[in-house]
Amino acid sequence: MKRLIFYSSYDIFVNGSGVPGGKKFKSFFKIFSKNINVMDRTNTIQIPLNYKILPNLKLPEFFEFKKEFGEICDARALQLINQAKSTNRKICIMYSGGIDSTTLLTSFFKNCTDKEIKDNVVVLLTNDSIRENPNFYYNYIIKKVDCVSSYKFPYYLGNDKFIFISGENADQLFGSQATSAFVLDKPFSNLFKPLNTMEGSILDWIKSRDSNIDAELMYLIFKRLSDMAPIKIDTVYKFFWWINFTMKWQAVYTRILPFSKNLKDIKFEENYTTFFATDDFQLWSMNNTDNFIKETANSAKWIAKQYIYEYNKDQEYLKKPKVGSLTNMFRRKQMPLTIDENMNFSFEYPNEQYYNLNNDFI
Amino acid sequence: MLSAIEIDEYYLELSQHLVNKDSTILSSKALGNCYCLITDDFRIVATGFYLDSCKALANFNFSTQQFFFGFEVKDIQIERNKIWLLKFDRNENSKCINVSKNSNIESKEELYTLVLNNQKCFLLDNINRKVDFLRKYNTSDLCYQELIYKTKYVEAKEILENNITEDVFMNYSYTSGYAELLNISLQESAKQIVIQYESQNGFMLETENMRIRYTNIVRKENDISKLNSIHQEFLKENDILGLI
Repeated sequence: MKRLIFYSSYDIFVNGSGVPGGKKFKSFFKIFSKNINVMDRTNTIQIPLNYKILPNLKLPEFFEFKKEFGEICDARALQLINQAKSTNRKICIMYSGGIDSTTLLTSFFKNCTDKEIKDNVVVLLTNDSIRENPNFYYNYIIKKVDCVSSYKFPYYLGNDKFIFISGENADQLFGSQATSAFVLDKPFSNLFKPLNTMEGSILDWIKSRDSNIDAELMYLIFKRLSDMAPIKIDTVYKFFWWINFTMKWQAVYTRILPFSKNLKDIKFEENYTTFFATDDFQLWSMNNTDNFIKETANSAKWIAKQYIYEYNKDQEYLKKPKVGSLTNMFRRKQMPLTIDENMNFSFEYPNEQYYNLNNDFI
Repeated sequence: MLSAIEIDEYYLELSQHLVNKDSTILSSKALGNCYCLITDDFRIVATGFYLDSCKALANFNFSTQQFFFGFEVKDIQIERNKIWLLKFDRNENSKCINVSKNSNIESKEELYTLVLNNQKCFLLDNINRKVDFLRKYNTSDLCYQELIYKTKYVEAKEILENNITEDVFMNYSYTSGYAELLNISLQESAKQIVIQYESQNGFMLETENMRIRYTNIVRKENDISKLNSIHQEFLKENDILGLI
């Protein structure tokens, strides 16, 4: 049996259907997005492909956890800068200008000296990054740190002279994107209604995504997932957050890997990581499910924005909406269909050795 | 020599693989704005709205590329997918081109080659159109602006490489002008210029690598049934991979 750590959902399921159970599993991508390689960290849902959850991405065991978000950011920045210094590497931060990467960069600026930043950090960005948050760029980034064009990221990712860090996994902590489609034509307040009163509404929404979806099957699968959660999933928002948190966690950690020019040299948590993929952040998320968002869509990631504001006092940024910022980085590039657990990539459709015939979609 | 019926039958067989599913009718006026791919005996194989689409497929064995600009084309209307039914005959002493229907196609192999290259040209047009759009969208259309960006970049690189902090003799007028406008140091100004230019350049590089890659893939492909999947792959790289 061979296992994957990444697969191209669009090529294998949306555009293809040769994998047993693939036709029904395709519904997942019609509901959420064509381009996410879902893998259930809880092992509740069996998908049609054999996969391996990386050891550093396993779901931590839940317990009461009282650290604040800002405290965790500070500690993480210090841990990473010390790791860089002790291993003689530079930190390379993929900065999109969005809330997540601004949070991560803020934590470095806040906790490291100017000299530490100058000697140990380089920021990858584009003109889009600058436009996304011009104040932060002109007032802090260009003055404090060396900048390189993000388009060179394939050469930095896996280069052992650097620890490559991105702001990925933050969306999964806060549950952002999963909910936006649900409230496209509904009141935002529906997200906070009790889950047990909204089951019909969720089912209708799943059906509306595509007439070929087996909505009942998909809903039962999601319900099984949420019923197994170690915390109370009592609102629509938390329902979608939990699906995102458990099934998309590894997807976002690994989705940049296919574009690396040094794939075989990537060492997870040594020269590649995401800022938000630690157990502390995850425990914070599981312990603060009522704090992700307030009454309006603009309040998404308000805690992260508050953290940034406390550093740079930029009132304007507090109102910044969540906008997808990675679009251009992934376009116009060849992407392999799979990466296996030995870091071998392939442009071929996976064969039977990768099939999970005991999946929930046959 | 294939008969008219044989041509129609074989074309119908091939038509399931056509990339251009909504083939437009080209009038004389439209042809006057096109580039085209022709054979040695002046059969028109394909039309392209980009010269690069035709040039990519031209070779001395099979076809040369020539364009209709500046010539008057006599009244004709033809479906773009079937333009290989036309031959043209240019009178050396006049600017007038006569095009006429000519179904003298020797064999199925010849017809296959004509249809294949006709569709390849259409596919290359789609690729080049996308590249063109991406580049235009991400560059300035102000006169000389791109040249100015390049000049600024060269200045800025020199400033950073030589650690210049003051532009005493106005040798770096663009960079120091930018510094003055933003009230920042010369070094900061240079850094900003470099990163912005390299970011732009990185984007252009991606469009160029993509253009070369797909042009080569299309040129080398001899199986008409593969053209649609090439097209889908191209669309995927440009659109789907951005959906996250």
